[in-house]
Amino acid sequence: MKIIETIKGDVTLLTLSGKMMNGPESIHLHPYIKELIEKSQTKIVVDMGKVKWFNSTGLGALLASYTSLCNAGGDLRIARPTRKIYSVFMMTQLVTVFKSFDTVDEAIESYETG
Amino acid sequence: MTINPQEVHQLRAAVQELSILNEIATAVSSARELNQVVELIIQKCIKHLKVEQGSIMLLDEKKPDKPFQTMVRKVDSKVDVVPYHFGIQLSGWMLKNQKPLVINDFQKDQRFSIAYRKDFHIQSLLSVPLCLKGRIIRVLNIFNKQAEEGFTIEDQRLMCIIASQSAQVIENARLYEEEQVLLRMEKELKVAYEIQINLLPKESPQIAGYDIAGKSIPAKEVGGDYYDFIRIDDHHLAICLGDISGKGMPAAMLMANLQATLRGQTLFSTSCKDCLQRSNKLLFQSTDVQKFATLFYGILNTRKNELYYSNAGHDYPFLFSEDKEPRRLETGGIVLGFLENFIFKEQVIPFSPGDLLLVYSDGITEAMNADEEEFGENRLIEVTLKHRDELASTLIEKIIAAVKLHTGDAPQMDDITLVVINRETQ
Repeated sequence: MKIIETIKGDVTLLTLSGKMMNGPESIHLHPYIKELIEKSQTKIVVDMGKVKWFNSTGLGALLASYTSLCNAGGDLRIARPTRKIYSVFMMTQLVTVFKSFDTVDEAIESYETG
Repeated sequence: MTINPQEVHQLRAAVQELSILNEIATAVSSARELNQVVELIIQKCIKHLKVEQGSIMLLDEKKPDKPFQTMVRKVDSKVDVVPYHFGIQLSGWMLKNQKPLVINDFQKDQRFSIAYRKDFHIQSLLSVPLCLKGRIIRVLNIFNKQAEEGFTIEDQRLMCIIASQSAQVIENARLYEEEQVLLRMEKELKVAYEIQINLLPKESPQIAGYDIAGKSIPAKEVGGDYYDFIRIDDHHLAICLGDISGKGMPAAMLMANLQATLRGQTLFSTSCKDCLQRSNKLLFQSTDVQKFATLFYGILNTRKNELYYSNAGHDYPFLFSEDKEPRRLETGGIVLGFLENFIFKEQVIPFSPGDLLLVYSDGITEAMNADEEEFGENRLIEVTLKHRDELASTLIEKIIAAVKLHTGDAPQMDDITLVVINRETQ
């Protein structure tokens, strides 16, 4: 899994690509987010449009990142979840936890409206 | 024929060298453990080269700032230990120059002046690298030659031969030790596997009018999937099927924790949602943020023939009823261990004659073939419908066979678990 970071005002956009499943490669999202928190970057949008595979390991990384950000007074919002990701959110009922948006712009703008 | 005294001396020296090398080879061939082999080599060097002290330093590639660690040091007199910084300097020199080092007057040697200390009584030194496949793996050192002239060119030659012979022997001993550690771990993993197998139900509950079966196959020796049947009383049976995030030993340990928690909670209450709420809280308190579990928890009332259930973010089980589309059991809440005080919901559904409940883990539906195509819900439903009139245990085997047929030669990526409850037609 690859992470590309872009700063959009006071929002940090993380564009993920590749596989978010079994293996240590999917685990580095949480350490990455923790480093952002150290730099006071706590308004995060994760663009998941290019994530090829997603399972419970990927979900674990998202949950851990979400918890760390909330504890730091920030939030993690999801942009462009794939059908698979959305179905996992539905099944695990985490759709009520993660705010997700159809486009990256909508996700970024959502921070302006609160 | 006359032989001149110099030739006699050379011949004697050669015979002695051979006898030393032979003695070392014979001694180390009987030793297997690394420390034993290293100690023997050092002992023989001290004895035959007539020095006070010897050591072998091990190159540790995992610690670039501390490239060498002294493995074993054999002291033959009251000489003080080699200071740590000197070890670093020496190993640095050896890595850079890759050749033997002889110093016969240590105090005058500028290269290691920092290392000289009053309490560090070393007058002379001979160090040779131990190489394997062109790479230095260790350094063999001997200190303080007893003879006044110090180390000779013959000593250096002999040490180089000992080093070249020892490198592979020491490496073999190291590999042997590594193998022993791995074998011990493998043994422990087998014990863990046995423990986990014993946590799963040994046999299916026998209830008149019902045919019940369950099976779990971990992807590794131990796994994070689990299922359980808990008899609450004569007409209540709890059914659990859970999936801990991750795999292997960490998941297996949490699985055991969740199983114990649920077994305890089941005795307190026949409410599915209460049981999940309390288990969720306990799991939240005992896990880190990356760990969670999905769990289907149901209580079958075999007198009223009803199923109470609550689904904590687990793949929706299917209820197959005669002449109806399979129904997904979605009521419940989020995954366990994430939000401490989450309020779960529960539902009660009739369990009519001919109804079949299929609970499974995502190892079934997410099993991929070589083209990265998942087995998926549709295939699962198809196989179940095809074999739904067979015994619950047979249906489970048919589903597993279909998954294996789908994945072909690909290794099993995730734990696979299934529970089937079939109410017999009257």
